[in-house]
Amino acid sequence: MSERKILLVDDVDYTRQLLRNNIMAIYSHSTLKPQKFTFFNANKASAAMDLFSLQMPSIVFLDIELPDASGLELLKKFKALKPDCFIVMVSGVSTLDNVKESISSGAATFIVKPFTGDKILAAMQLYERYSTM
Amino acid sequence: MATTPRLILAEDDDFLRQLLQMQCESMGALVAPACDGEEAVSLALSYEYDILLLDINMPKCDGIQAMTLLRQLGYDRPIVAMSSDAVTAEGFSSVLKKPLNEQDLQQLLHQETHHPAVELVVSDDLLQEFLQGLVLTQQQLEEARQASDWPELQRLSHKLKGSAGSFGFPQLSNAADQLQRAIQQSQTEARLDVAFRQLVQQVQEASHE
Repeated sequence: MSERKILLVDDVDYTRQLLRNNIMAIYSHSTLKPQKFTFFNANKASAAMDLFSLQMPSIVFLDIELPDASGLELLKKFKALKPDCFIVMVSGVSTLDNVKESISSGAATFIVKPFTGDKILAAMQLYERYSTM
Repeated sequence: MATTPRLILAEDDDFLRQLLQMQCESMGALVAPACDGEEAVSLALSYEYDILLLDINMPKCDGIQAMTLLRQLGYDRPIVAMSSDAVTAEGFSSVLKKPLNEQDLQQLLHQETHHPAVELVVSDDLLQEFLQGLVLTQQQLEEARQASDWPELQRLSHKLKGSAGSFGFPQLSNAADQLQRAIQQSQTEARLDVAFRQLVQQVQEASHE
């Protein structure tokens, strides 16, 4: 089983932890084929950029509202470095502009906070379809 | 046991929307009304509904744009178009011809599968961490209020809105949202203060749980 790298970018520590726990829970309880994941954490854009360049993750959960930059800017940089990276944008603001800009900049999907099990499951199901394409 | 179908009903005509909502509710459905495509997309992305019933001609974002956007985002639940014209766009699960009759709605509500909710896992440790963090958040809120630092208050309430919702404190999340909106709309200081005090009260209540 190949190991997949997931980068979690959010300025709140326990939000990243919550995401990580739930991604693992979904893979152990749902119909998704078990995967081995290694998680990396960044609490701001600069740290996320460094980690991304170093690890080249397969999946990124990227909060739009970061303390030192917009996640949307980071999204473009990530896609330029690794075009096939599966990027899930996360935001508390689900305006169409936000969603459309995310898609046109290469995001795979968009999660509107607050997190629920169904939203995370939908993102991971989409990833599974994407990665077997 | 039959489960209650949860439906998003997107129709810009007020009269028609209310009529359809009443009909669907009388058939036992839970209905979330939306007046345009943007609201429909937002509601769909909450992943709390089983079916999206979408009018084609709507302001802001029409039914085809809304469906296309949702499918791009990997939304795989049924999206049903309603239109008096033929709909050729790919991505709809089915198309209902307007005017809709009761039989159409009955069939729609009974054929579609219910999506059981996947529980969000919140470990005790993590919940404790969140609750302890609230003590600090309350301090930060009060300092920012003393300094009338509205941008900081907006940032703090925005952050709290998302995390409180995820950790199962909808009232706290709602109070944070109220303050954030009040600041955004540059409401009077008196109103901002009411929103601020309500938020602090919710923070206190949550941290004493």
